[in-house]
Amino acid sequence: MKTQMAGLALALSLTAGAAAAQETLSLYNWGDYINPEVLTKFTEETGIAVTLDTYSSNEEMLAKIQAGATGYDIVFPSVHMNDIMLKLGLLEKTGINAHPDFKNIDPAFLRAKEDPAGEYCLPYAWGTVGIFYNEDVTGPITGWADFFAIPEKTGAKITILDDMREVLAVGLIMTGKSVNSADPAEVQAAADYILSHKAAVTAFTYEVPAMLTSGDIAAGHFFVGGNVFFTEMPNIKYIIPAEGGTMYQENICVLASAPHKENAQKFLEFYLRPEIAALNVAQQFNGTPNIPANELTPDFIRSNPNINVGPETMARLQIFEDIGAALKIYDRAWNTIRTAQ
Amino acid sequence: MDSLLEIRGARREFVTPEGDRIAALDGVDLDVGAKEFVTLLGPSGCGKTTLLRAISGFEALDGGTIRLGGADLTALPPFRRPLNTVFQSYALFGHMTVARNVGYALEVAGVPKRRREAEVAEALDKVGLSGMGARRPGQLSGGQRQRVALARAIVAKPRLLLLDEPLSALDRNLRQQMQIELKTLQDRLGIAFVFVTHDQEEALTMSDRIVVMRAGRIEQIGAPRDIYRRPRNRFVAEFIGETNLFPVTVDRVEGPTALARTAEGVELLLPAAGRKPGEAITAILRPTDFTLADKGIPGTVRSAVYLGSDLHLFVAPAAGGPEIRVTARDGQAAETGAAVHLAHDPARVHVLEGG
Amino acid sequence: MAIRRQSAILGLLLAPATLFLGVFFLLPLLIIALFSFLTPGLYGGVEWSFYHWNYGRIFGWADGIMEVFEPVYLRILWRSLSFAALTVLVTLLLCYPVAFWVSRLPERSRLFFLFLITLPFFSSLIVRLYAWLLILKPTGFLNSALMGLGLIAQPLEILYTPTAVVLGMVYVMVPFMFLPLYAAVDNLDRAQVEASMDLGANRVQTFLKVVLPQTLPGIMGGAVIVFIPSVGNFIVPDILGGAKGLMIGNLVEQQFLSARNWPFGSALSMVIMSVVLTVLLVAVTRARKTGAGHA
Ligand SMILES: Nc1ncnc2c1ncn2[C@@H]1O[C@H](COP(=O)(O)OP(=O)(O)O)[C@@H](O)[C@H]1O
Ligand SMILES: [Mg+2]
Repeated sequence: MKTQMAGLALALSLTAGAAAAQETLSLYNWGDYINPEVLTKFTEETGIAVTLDTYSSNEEMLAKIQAGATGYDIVFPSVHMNDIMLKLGLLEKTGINAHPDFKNIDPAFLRAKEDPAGEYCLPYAWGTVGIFYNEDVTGPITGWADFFAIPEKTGAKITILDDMREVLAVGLIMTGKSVNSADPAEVQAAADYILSHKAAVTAFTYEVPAMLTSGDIAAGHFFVGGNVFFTEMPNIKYIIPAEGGTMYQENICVLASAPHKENAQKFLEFYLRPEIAALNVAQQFNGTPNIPANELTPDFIRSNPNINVGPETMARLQIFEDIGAALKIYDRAWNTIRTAQ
Repeated sequence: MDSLLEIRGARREFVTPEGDRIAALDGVDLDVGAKEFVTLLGPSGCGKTTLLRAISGFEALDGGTIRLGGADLTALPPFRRPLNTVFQSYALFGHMTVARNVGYALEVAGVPKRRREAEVAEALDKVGLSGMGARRPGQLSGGQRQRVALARAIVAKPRLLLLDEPLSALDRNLRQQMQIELKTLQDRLGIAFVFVTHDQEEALTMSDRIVVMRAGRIEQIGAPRDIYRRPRNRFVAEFIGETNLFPVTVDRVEGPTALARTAEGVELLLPAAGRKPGEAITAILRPTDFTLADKGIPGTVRSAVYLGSDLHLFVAPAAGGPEIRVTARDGQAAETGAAVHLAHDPARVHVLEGG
Repeated sequence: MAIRRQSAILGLLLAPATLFLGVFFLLPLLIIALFSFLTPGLYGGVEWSFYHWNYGRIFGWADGIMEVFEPVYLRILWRSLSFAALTVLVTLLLCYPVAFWVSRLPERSRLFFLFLITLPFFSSLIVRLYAWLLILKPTGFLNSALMGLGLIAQPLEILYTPTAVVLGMVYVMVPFMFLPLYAAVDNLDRAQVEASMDLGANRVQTFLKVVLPQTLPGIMGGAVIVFIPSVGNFIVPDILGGAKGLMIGNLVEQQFLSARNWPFGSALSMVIMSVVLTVLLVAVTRARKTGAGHA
């Protein structure tokens, strides 16, 4: 993916090079987390060449920025990381909320506690983490209890994410606790829940789309964005578990160290436009905080209740917050889970 | 002679990288007596090493047998053959001390440590290396390494020792000293040595018998004197020592002496026994067989090489034909350009039948 | 005077080497050592105050509130060392006979083989490990082939097991074991092998007393080059082990990239380095002694 992106970036910089002098913008984003067409369009309109680098966890991005990586203009932190970066003074105030188009943004998505009015970052996209399953093998399932029972019932394999907080969140949800609990006993109980099902889990992995397609697994814990791989496979379904699931939201933030702050500002304003946000959703299969954009997304996305979730499903979702020093409790629990035989 | 080693019809072919088949051993028969020093001599590539390796078991034969003390060795692997080898490169074990190198054969045979140590000391003593046991081969000179290799090969008291050009890496003085030592050691041990060399002087100095080889075949076997004085053919004659070869026709027979002449007209006297006038033969005379005299073959000194006690002359016969090599005693005046006569004792002429 | 000038010149001559070692080796090491005694910053990084719980968590002293001692870290370390040792053993057993076989090939085939063995270096490790994932998974090439041949009825459970991890590690490390081994085997003095047999040693004795000691430098070299990165490897257990069996390398990676605990990650690194260094020193000294040993 990364090379593909690099190729794209190269192509973009070439077209831009023809149009204008060296105006550039450097994005640092999750892998596969923006529709390349959005970038192409941005370059066409503004003449600004875009380069894209990717990361695979908030912490990886934070560690890089903290270690002094320079040259990046825009990052896409999750909400809790957005808070952390604000506390650490790593972000630039953009005043994006003063832009007339900011009215497009649903205020419910101004989740960053440190930036309640949206003076710094622009809510980018959001999604859910749930279960993909091959209905031909598993039959209908509704939530985590059904999911963990698949191996025993059918002999097929299941996987969960190789992600500390996501995995422990499943345990916390199943023991009725907040996914942001800082209580060691609650986290331990969550770890025990996962441990009691570890034997049923084949692997902690992100390889869900490929393994599900090939039939190597029957179900996997994965992000809603995985739907992009299964548009032609009606037997593969996605659910937000009945017991509850997690959601994520990333914001577009400009770094305090950004070398091209004006271009970054232009990108934020560009992304406020409903048709641009909708263009991104059409390829990414996730939600957008841009209210008018939701009306412009393709019908099969808009009508899927597991993608375009309604208020009652929304109530089952929790979002990760910065838990500060309690992270250590999670780290210990995670080590226990991963070393248990 | 009761022979210790009997080789019969040994054959070995190799395929060269170019795909040609060459016979490294082409039907070799050889007997070696129990206390004999036998040297395999011949030009490089004639099969000496192959023959030695066939005896030690590192080269399998395509045909023929090898017996030692009556027992058939042909099918035995090297480690089952009761004989040892001194390798050309010495092949000392670099990761072991001298003592452990020497005691290796006893170590692998399971000889108890105490007895082993005694025998190692004895073997080191025999080669003049007493007290060197704690050193590493890397800390020794070339000559010392040679002695370690020797001690290692004799420690198990084999009845036959094989040596493949063991002296070739030594400088000339050391080589001559080692030649004598080796010969003495062989006498003292009372075992058979099969020694490989391409150096005819070395062969002449050390051997009881010399085996001259060419292209996988034995050309002649005999005592050094025999080989030197009575080479069976031109190859042997030319390979052993310096030689003058005269292709001649017998002119007439007068009593015990016959007169023969080369095409150019150089005249030689030789023993009459068995000679018939008109017969074409090759007469051989070593450089030492000529003396500078008042009569004899007339000629001119073309060059004179001073070699310590001897003076080597190249004399062009007045009648024409190839130059004659002559060894004169130092002090005999013979400068380049001098006119000389070469006399010889007819009895010392050796005749190769059929030219 | 003269001596002082000499040492000044020597110092000047050695300066580039010292600088090189300092920048690429010593400086990072010093930073890690320093960090391992500092307080973890809440959001990564460090706070500049002394803190010994990083080691306490590993070795058995802790305040029991925010820092808890858990034997799990030592167990993970032990597990990683065992896997690394197993990797060394398997690669050695695989490469040793092959090195002999290759050293006897005609030159052209030999060069071709050496080229083949370095071929993996031309592509990314991750890509190659994903290829193994495709081979080993239940519907992968291996199982399809074996089932197609009727050798097995059910797919073999290899992927996401310790077997897959060892297989992957061995695959990654084989070239590193092979090259030093091959160099040693190729350098082996054939005449010494023959001398040994000539002196009555059978094939086993010859192997143990001559071939093995002569190739020992290659074996040690290969073992060291394979052992060190194997201890810290975290990509293979992640991709082929399904991240189920935590290795010390994963633990360190996790401290930096998700637990945001740089000092603890540094302390773990220091522990790994000390253990690996100790293991190597012991192994090398022992090997020296064996090489020099008398029988
Ligand atoms: N392993 C081998 N493969 C092919 N040819 C060989 C091999 N060993 C020896 N020969 C050939 O056999 C012939 C005799 O070799 P060798 O016994 O070593 O001769 P020498 O020791 O008299 O110099 C040579 O032509 C040599 O090239
Ligand atoms: Mg030879």
